[in-house]
Amino acid sequence: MMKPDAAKHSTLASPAGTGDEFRAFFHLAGVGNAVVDVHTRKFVMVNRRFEEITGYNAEELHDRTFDDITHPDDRGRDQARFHELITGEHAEVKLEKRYVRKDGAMAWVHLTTTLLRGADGCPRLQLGVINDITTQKTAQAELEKLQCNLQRLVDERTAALTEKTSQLEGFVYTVAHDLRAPLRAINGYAEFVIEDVGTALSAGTATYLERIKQAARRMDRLIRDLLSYSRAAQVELKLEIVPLSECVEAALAALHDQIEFRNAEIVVDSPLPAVRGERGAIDQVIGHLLSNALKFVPPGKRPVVQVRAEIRGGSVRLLVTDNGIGIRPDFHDRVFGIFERLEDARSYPGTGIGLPIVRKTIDRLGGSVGLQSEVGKGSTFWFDLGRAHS
Amino acid sequence: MTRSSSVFLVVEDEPADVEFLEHAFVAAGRGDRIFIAPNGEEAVAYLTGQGEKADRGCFPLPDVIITDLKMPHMNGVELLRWLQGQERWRAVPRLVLTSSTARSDIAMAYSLGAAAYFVKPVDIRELRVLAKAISDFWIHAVCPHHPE
Repeated sequence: MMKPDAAKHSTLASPAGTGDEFRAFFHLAGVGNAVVDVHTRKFVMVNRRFEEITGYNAEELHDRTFDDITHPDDRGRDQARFHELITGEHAEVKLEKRYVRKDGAMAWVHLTTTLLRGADGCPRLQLGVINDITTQKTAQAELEKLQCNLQRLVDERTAALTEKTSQLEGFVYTVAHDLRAPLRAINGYAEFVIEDVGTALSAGTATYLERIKQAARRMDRLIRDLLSYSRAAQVELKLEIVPLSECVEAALAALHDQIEFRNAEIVVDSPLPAVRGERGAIDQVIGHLLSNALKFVPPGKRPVVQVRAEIRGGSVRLLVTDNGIGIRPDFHDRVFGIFERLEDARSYPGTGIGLPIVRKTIDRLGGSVGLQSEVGKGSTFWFDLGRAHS
Repeated sequence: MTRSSSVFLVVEDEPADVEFLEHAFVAAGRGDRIFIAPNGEEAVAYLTGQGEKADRGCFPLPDVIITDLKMPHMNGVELLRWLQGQERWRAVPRLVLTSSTARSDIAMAYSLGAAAYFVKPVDIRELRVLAKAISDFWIHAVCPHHPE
């Protein structure tokens, strides 16, 4: 087998049979180039860039094998890949590895290597192109560290938020339980007085007691509505395919008595498309919109409510139109505020929690809400949600 | 085989609610007997006949247990769990009557064997309707500890 004779030459020595062009390219390259004798595994020829990468000069490298300058943890893998070249399993191998520089520092490199074989097919020389990727690796390690820190921060914040949510739930529970108990007592004992004293009560006293009871009931309604809003804001929502036709049907069934009482005409532009949302939450939203559409129609006027949908690209808009009293333009934003009431409670009873629940729920489902309205003619409330392709 | 009245053990810490509930059962008119335990611990003492509660003539075993959820010492959830874990009491029907409308409480109560979950009404007239409905319904039920 022909032995390479480069070892006894300077760094400018080149494999037999190569010319000046090769040498020029070899040394000119901005990447490290190295030639290793496959038998001795020592460096036969290296360029200046390789010297810079390893910190050894060519003379020093002539006396070293590539194992000598390879990081101990990478030697096994290096050996395995070298074996793949020798056996011809691969004509070329690319790998990332670490060198231990002369000054003891570590250099990350990307190595592309192949073999030169003699006329007999036996491997003679191993050629390597070495790219210093230490900066890139350091940056990557730094990035991973930052990501790790970021993940830790996210975890910590999530835990803190979960804790706060849990505290809030506890608070809500306390509101529900502890605030409602005295209300029951106020209402109950007022009722006892009315029943016990009965006709002996003056008309004025009876009215006062009745007002105490009404106030207690109203306060209870407010607390319960606040709880409903709080639940709408917190309850876990799982996205699924929701056919709007079914939601409208369910909401109308729940409002049956109100519809009968008002002798309302309901026109549903069936079939309605499906959206991505949560069934229970959307039932509740449509229930609030329909209930409002029935409620805010002046006494004596027959409510006519129209439900229709528009496909708008990737989303669906559901519109509920009524022939009610309408809303002044400057009140359009206020209607979605908690406990906002734009009308007299005696004419249009309620606490004003329905639309805030609608907006909160649709927000949480990734959609939007809005209205068009003209005083005296009626309103159209709508929400947009992602279209579902069932 | 329908009995004329039922024995209810009411587990409730709020004196006004106790008074209203007793009043509501009286108004229901069946002559149901109501016994009160102010928390889960006292309910366990009642059921297991500790101290004076051993006298079943005065403190009969209940046909139905009605419990609040939020109470000091041993709360309603803990009581339901205890009842479910006791062979002897597992079959006694238990109802929840509470202020909470939380879905998690409702789910928890049913998973721990509650037969029904009621939210306390503010209006005492509604409470009377509820007490009458409970009284009327359970009168027809054969319950494990009702004396023959």
